[in-house]
Formats: sequence, C-alpha cells, structure tokens
Amino acid sequence: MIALLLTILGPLAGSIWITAIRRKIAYAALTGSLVSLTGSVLLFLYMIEGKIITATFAGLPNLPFRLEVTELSAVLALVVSVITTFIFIYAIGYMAEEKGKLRFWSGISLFLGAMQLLVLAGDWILFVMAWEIMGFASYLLIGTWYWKKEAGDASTKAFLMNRVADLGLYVGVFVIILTGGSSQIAAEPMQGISMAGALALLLAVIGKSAQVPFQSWLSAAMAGPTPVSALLHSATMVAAGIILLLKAFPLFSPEALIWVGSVGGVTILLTGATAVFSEDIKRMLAASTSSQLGFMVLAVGAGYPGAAIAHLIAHAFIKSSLFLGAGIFQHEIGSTKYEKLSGAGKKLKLTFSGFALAGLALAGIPPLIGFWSKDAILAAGLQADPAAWYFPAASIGAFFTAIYMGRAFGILWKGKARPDETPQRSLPWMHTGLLTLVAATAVGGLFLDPLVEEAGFSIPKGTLAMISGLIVAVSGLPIGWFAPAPVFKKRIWMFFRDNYPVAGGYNRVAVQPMLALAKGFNAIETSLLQAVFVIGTAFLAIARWLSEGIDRATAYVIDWIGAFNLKIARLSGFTDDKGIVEGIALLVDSVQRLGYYGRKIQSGLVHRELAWSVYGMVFALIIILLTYL
Amino acid sequence: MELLITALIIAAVLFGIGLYGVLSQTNLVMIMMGIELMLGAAMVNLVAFWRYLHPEAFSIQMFVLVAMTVMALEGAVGFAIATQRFRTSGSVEMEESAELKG
Repeated sequence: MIALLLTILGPLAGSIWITAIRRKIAYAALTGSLVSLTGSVLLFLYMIEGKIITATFAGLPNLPFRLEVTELSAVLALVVSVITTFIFIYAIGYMAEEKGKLRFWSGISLFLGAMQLLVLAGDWILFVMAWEIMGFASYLLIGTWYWKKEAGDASTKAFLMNRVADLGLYVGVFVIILTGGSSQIAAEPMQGISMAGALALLLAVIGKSAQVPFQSWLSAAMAGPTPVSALLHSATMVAAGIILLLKAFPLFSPEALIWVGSVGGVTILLTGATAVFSEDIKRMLAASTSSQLGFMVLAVGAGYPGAAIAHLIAHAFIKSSLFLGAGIFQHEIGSTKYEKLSGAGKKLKLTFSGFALAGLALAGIPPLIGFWSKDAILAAGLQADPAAWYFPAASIGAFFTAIYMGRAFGILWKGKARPDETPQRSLPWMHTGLLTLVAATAVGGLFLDPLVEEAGFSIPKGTLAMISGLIVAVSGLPIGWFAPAPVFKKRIWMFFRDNYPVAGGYNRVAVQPMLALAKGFNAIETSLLQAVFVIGTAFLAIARWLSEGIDRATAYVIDWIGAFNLKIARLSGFTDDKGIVEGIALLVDSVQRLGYYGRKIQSGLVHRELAWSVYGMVFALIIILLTYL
Repeated sequence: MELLITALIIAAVLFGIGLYGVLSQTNLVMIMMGIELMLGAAMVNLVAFWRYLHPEAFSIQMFVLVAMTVMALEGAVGFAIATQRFRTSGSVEMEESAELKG
C-alpha cells in the first residue's frame, strides 16, 4: 500500500514542490522519480512474492476508485520508473543551460506521476483521469519553450489531436461500464464489449499512440526539449495507448481485433516510409516511434499481447537511448537537420557508439534487446489467424527500420567532423543517462523473456520469424548506409516526408475551397448591395416629391404651435426664477451644513470604522446568546 | 445534520477569513475581496439552512440569488471607486484616504 502511494505520489509531490517552492527544482524532480523507482521496485518484489495489492477508495457512487498491482502493471511501473529516472539524470545536464526549467521540471514530474497512476489504475475512471492529466502535462512539456511559435503550435496541435481521440476513450469507457455494470478493469471479464465500443477505444489508442491518421502530432512534438521527446516516445504517453489496449484486450471480440491489427499494420508501413525519407534526426525518430508502436498494436490485434509487452519494454529502452543520443548531438551541433549533423559521430565517439548500439537494437540485430522483441512480433504476425498480411507488413516494417537506422548511422559517421563550437560542461550527466539506458538495451534481451513471463504473458517464438527478421535487418542496414544521399531527397518523397499531406494537405483540401466559396458569397453580396442602392435611390426621389407638398402644409401649423409654446415657456421661466431656484439654494445650503457637522463624527479612517462595525457585530452576538441562555 | 454542521463550519471559516482580510488589509481592493468572502459565507449559511429546514420551498434560494446580485453590484461600485481613486491620487491605500475629513 505504501509502495503504491510512493510510486504515484512521489513525482506528484516533486511537481508540487517545484511549482510552489521553486528551489532546487532539478533535484526535487530527481528525488521524486527516485521515490517512484523505490516504490515500483517494492511493488515488483511484492508481486514476485505473490502478494496482490489492491486499494479501493471513495469514488463515484457504486464505482469506487481502485488501484491494483497486477503482474502486468508491476512490470510496466518498474520499466516506466527506471527509464524515467535515467532520463531525469540526463535532463539535469540537458536543461542546465536551457530556459524554461521551471515549466519543464514541474511538467515532467506531473507527467511521471500521471503515467504511474495510469499503469496502476484498477478501474476505468481513474484510468481516464490519469490519461487526461498526462495529456495536459504533455501539452505543458511540448510547449516548454512556448515563446517560440513552433513550440506553441506543436503543443496546441498535440493537445487538440489527442482531445479528438480522447472522445473515443470516453465513449469506450462508457460502453464498458454500461456493458459490465462495473468500472473495474478485470483480467477476465464476464462479457466483451460491442464493436462500436471497441472501435471507440481504438480511436483513443490511435490518438495517444500516434497511429495513422493521427500520427502527425508526434513529429510536431519535436519542438519540445529532447528529454521530453525521449519520455513521450518511450515509456510514457504513446505507451499509454498500448497500455489501454493491453488492459482492454480481454474485452475485444475477434472481429474488433482485426481492426486493431489493421491500424497497426497500416501505421507500420506508412510511418516507416516517413522515417526513411525524413531529413531531420528527431523527426525520423518520431516517425519511427509511430511505426514501432504500430508493431505493438499489430501484435495485440494478432492476439499476442505478450509480444506487444516485450516490444513495449524493448522499444522504451531503445527509443529513450536514441533520443538521448540525438539530444547530445543537437546540443553539440545546434541543429537536428541531417545536413548539419553530417560527420558529427566522429567528434562525439562515445555518444555515437551509444546511439549506434541502440539503433542496431531497433533494427533487430542479435543479441540486442530489439532482436528478441521484433522476433516475437513477427512470430505473432505469422501465427495470427485473422489476417494473412500481418506478417508481410511487419517484415516490411522491420526492413524500413533497418534502412532508416542505417541511413542515420551513415550520415552521422560519414562526412567531415566540424570543429568544436559549443563546449558542453554538462556532458557527464547526459552521458550517465544515455549509457545506462544503452547498457540496458545491450543486455536486456536476456531478461526480456522472464520479465514478460513475470507479467503473466508469453512471447511467441518461431524459427521462420527469427530468420526472416535477421534477413531484413542485415539487408536493410547496408542499403541505408550506402545509398547516396540525393536518392532520399527527391521531390517525389515529399509526400512521405511530410506525413502524407493528402491532396496537397489541409491547405488544398480545406482552405482554398473555403476561400473560393467566400469569394463567391462576396460577389453575390456586392450585387445585392447594388440592387438595394438602386431601389433606395428611386424611393428617395419619390419621397422628395411627396415631402415638398406636405412640408408647406405642415409649416403653417407648426409655426402656430411654436408661438404658443413660447408663451408658456416665458411664463414658467418667470416662476422658476423666483420660487424654485431660491428654494433649491436653501436646500443645498442646509445639506452642506449637515455634511459639515456630520463629518465631525467620522474619524475618516476606514479601518477604525470597520473595527467599530465588528465591535457592533460582536455586541449583537453577545445579546443574542444571552437571550437564548 | 452532519451536512448542516459541515456547511456551517465552512461558512464560519470563510467568514473568519473574510473578516481577517477586511481588518488586516489596507488596500481597498483587498478589503473588498474580504467583504465578498463574508457575503459568500452568509450565502453558504442560507443555503445550508434552507436544505436543513425547508428543502421543499425554493424562496430561500431566491434570497441567495438576490444576495449574489447585490454582491456583483457591490463589486462594480467598489471597483469604480477604486479606479477613480487610483486615477486621482495614484494609490488605493485606505490609510491615505482621509481627505474628506477636512
């Protein structure tokens, strides 16, 4: 119970400290995450012992809030807090010389707390709450540098896209509660939910996990600081969508799972292509995140949540390492564009080797962690009954992965190293965070299997999957490395690079037709106005002709009335002067005198008067009390 | 009954905070904020007693609405005075506003 609270409330307390006290903010955040780490380690140990921890507390009527440590949530909470802690360590170095520290650290702590709440939530309402807090925190974090227009736009875009998708979560949870009569997240529910409910939940997953067609907020979110990207893309935020899928998996019918898998498959292919043709290292990583999450969605859709969990864990470690590496490059070079980064790897050999190791893991080179998880996904695709194209989609996606990682390595390593421009004093912090995570990706493969077993799932395996995964990885990397740069820069690939601006993007589809429509309305209105003007002129002429006749007739009458009124006015003026004016003067004089005496009574000090009225009130109270006694 | 007492305690605390604000602040705006709190406390009392004594009659709710309107008016007039005071003398400190005494 205490461990549960430590895990969730540690970072939240850190966030409150940072917002309220504003001292030692980075260390407060780090302490919060360490507390969370301690809590989640304890939870994990309890879970291994077989203790089941649940906490129920007051919520809605008949729908109490529950926190529950299941096998799955204990493993996920541990992964989340481990990764976040190292990202925090890295961020101390990264943010040392950046602006916006306060917003960054308070936001990121809030984010961690919300994520732990989401992972450990045992009922859907608490889950929705955590989901919403996380959406808000991501808005804050992406907009850390809110004075840049790009960052402000990106945070709004991310928030709005997520809001649209969140609608799905609300509808889905509503359907779940209506169907099952309880808001509890059950491992073995009595009955599944309807197709509509499942699709609503899928919409929420698509939004949060940046699946097609909501993938573009993730690239835009690159406007935030790199540790934010690392966190958003690895163990939190996008992972929340997968966690939703895992928690809702028992409720899905086989027909609904086909939809889930199709979304995953389409996303793998489309965003994988985007990553291949990106011209910016962080955008490449963002598109790759969408693609890798597509793998997980596909695995769930294929009916193997164990493979999805394995890939979730593996990807979390890999992607956070990649982002941390990219962040060091960004700090050193001052840009994330490929052309500027060319040759940066030779200067920063340690960072490059960490980045490369993580990248190889993502491409699926044994014995790194990514090989095992990708193998699991491929096997899941192969063994899945519902759709035959899961395996080809996953293989092509893995091939894309190898190409874009190979391309990134090539760009970072080939080319001349530039001379030092901005010496970094805070590199040790950043290297600590990066290298620890890279070490985890290197040896994590050994622990992946037992960890997923511990979470109560199994990883599908297959020789064919393993061999084909290895083949696409080994063939893709050289393609990316050796392919000449201009191949990727051609205009035809713009479509992929810019996240599929369908039919010229929103500009062509929505803006220009609206402008044309507005122009048409403008023309109609102008001609209407002209017609009105003509009619008006005609009536004016008629009116003039009529009025001349009437004028002459009325003028006589009015003259006469005027003369009569004048006489009355003279009479009343006479009485005014004599009687009323003098009376008023007397009144004014007496009021003035009254005021003169009146203000003698006042002290003129507001507080003294207020105090008097309080005394009066107390006096009145005493009298009332005495009457009752 | 417990609900009534809770509401009364909340109202008393609100009233106390408002009273403290009125007596301790020298800034006209802050004094007005204190007054708003005290009025709020009074309204909480009204609603609490209505719920406890005559939950079937709605006339007491009308009192609260009237009180709320008066609060708004009081705010408008008070702020107008504060604005005018600030324009003429550049401060809304009440300790410095005793010229009318003459």
